[in-house]
Amino acid sequence: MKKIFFIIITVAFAATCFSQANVLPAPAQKGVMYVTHATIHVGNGKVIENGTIVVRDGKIEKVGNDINIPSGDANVIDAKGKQIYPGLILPTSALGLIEMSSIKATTDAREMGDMNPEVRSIVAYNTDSKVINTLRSNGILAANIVPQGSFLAGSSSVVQLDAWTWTDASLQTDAGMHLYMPSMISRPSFGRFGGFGGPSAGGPASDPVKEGMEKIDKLKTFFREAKAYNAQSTHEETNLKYAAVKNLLEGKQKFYVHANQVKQMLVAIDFVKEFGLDVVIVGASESWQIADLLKKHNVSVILQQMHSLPTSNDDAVDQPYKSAAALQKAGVTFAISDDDTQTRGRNLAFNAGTAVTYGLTKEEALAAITLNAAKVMGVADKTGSIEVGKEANFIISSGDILDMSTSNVTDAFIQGRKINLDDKQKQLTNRYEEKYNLKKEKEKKPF
Amino acid sequence: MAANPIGGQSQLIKLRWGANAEDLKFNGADGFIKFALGENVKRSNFNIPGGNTRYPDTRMGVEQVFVDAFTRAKDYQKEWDAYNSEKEKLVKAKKPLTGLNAPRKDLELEALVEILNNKRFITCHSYVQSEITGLIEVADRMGFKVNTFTHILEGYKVADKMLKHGANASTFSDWWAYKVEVEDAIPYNAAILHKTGLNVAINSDDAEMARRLNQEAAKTMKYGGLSAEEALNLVTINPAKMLHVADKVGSIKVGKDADVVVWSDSPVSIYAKSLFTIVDGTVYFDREKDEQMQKEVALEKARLIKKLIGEKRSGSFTVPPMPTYSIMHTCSEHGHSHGMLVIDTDDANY
Repeated sequence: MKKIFFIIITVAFAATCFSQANVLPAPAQKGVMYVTHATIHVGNGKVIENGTIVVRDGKIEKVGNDINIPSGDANVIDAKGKQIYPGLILPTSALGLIEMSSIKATTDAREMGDMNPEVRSIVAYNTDSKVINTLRSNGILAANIVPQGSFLAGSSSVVQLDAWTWTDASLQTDAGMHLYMPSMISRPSFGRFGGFGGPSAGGPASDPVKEGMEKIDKLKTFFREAKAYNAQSTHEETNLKYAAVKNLLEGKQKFYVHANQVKQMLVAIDFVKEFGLDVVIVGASESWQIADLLKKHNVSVILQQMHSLPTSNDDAVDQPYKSAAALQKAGVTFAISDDDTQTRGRNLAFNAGTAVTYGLTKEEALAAITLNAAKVMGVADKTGSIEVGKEANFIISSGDILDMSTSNVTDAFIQGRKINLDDKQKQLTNRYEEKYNLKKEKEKKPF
Repeated sequence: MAANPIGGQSQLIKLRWGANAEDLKFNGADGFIKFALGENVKRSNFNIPGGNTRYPDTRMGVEQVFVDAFTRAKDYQKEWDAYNSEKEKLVKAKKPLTGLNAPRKDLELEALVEILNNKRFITCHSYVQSEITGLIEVADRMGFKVNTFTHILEGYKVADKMLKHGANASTFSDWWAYKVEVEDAIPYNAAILHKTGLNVAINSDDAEMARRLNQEAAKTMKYGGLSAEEALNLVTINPAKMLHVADKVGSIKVGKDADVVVWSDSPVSIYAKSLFTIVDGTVYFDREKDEQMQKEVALEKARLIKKLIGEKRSGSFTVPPMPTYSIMHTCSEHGHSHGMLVIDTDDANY
């Protein structure tokens, strides 16, 4: 009786608090757990029918369809008729840095200044953001938390989305450095002093290629100086900015270059040659035009504008939808992301679904938001696929997760921990289904 | 735009690509007018030097703008009624009209009188439950109807009130948390509104998302468990009803306009592509033909570039290249990129 009373209190609390304070991070998974009878989408292109996953102490111990489950009181989750996918990975986001974009006090994504290699996104990542749980509800279990900026913006960290603080959220701290490449195309001048024009209205006010290259040359000088600085074992004076790029120059950090134009991407390819950096192009809306070149230089790509209008008037109306297929064809390692800062990252799987409609196979599209995303971010040894030795990060859905008409995530596991998939929006829904007495209908048609 | 409580009159159009403004009009459609509530109206999210100095600055003030406007509209109507009946009397008695002066014509109040007489219909940009309830209450008191609440992200909190008033609801699928008034927006909104008996549509004010409204509607299958049929209705017959044109469009029925899309798959699936788009029986988009035309454009572009390079080599006069930009009206607070050659109106103005 006491137990029942406790449950009632808990439910009442859940239905009235809306702060998600009742959604607790799950404790560490201990011992052995079996998930059986599922269609397992491994993340590397393979699909295992009627498969079983064996999880031990947070790691994947076995995967296959010839695994015996011991009789007795083994911990077994029967996922018959369901689909299992690796936990989805959002390759770029300001999740936890921005709670509500119009309220400055809730935004911590962009620091002042052009040269901020020492700035670290992880210290501002708020594990209590109400947005995080709405992403988990759609199967996103990890994200790259990226600082915004106007040039060298600082380092990003990869986090898993079930944690008390950022220290236990972090999968890979300071995993990448972010450069926002200056625009290399002319832009008309505006307003009272220029008026919207173009060449006929007086032409471009400046030479963006020249200005951009001057900035890049300065950055080269900075990197050369930093290299020399970091080669010394002791320093008369500490320089935090030089020290901040030590890992980058030693190849321990990814170099993310945010660029959409072909010219910007060419500059990036040329720039990294001297320093031997492991470069990832972010945004990359024109990457389809130089896919072979990107492959040749072993450049990986994060597509951010899957759902966008075509970039130029000459482009096909559906060009942004089919850019992924062009990269796939050329053999470029790429991930699919979203250009929104926080909330719309939950549509990640549907961005990948669009790439299927326009040329990818379903498993290729899945890889772009799981294993290949992990590869691009340098965490593929830990996560990204349902393979032996990796963290047990996976989701169970009753239908195809790439299509919004069938996606329905019923369970999610991070490091083998079964996480609570409740969120603020589900709680509000419950509250108003009570108001209108819709509960019975809901039981007929569960969501 | 949503900058004013009483915005302006809107025009229903059909997407007859290439037609001039006059020929885009939906013939015989009722006249509508845009109203707005909340943060846009009280200028909460705009960088106005020195801060907002315009009334209304609060939702309290917004209510009073409506009360004031409709009070004046009713007085205006009374004045005209009195004038017209006096005029009629004099005409009947065959007396001279000297000394009888017509009231001053006021075009703003004429539009509001049309609303009071059910000749013009309101779509109201709205978000939170207090302001929705507030406008319904003013409307009931002053004797007018709100035809459709748009955006209406907290509609699920007052669905019963909207139903009683006789309003329709047109909402976003899943956007939230970009400003305070969308803090409690939920993706289950459309499904809850639908289940309470309201006529519901899905809309977007985003230029790119508007072309994937079928997918936005399909999200109600995930969030709220609507059937494929119910989801599709959110972007076909339901909006046709709320725009008073269900006798002409919104479903495939004998006698209706031949506005039809041929899809490669169920239109609620992410895997669906439009193959043909037909308006008034005319094919405006044909995917195969479009692909052919793209090839022709690519060839023409290559030819022109070759010619330009040739001219430059032969020493002709050249100018630096300048890409063609387009200016777009966007809600900048949403932060949705439209590509590198699109300039937001806000940026172009300052």
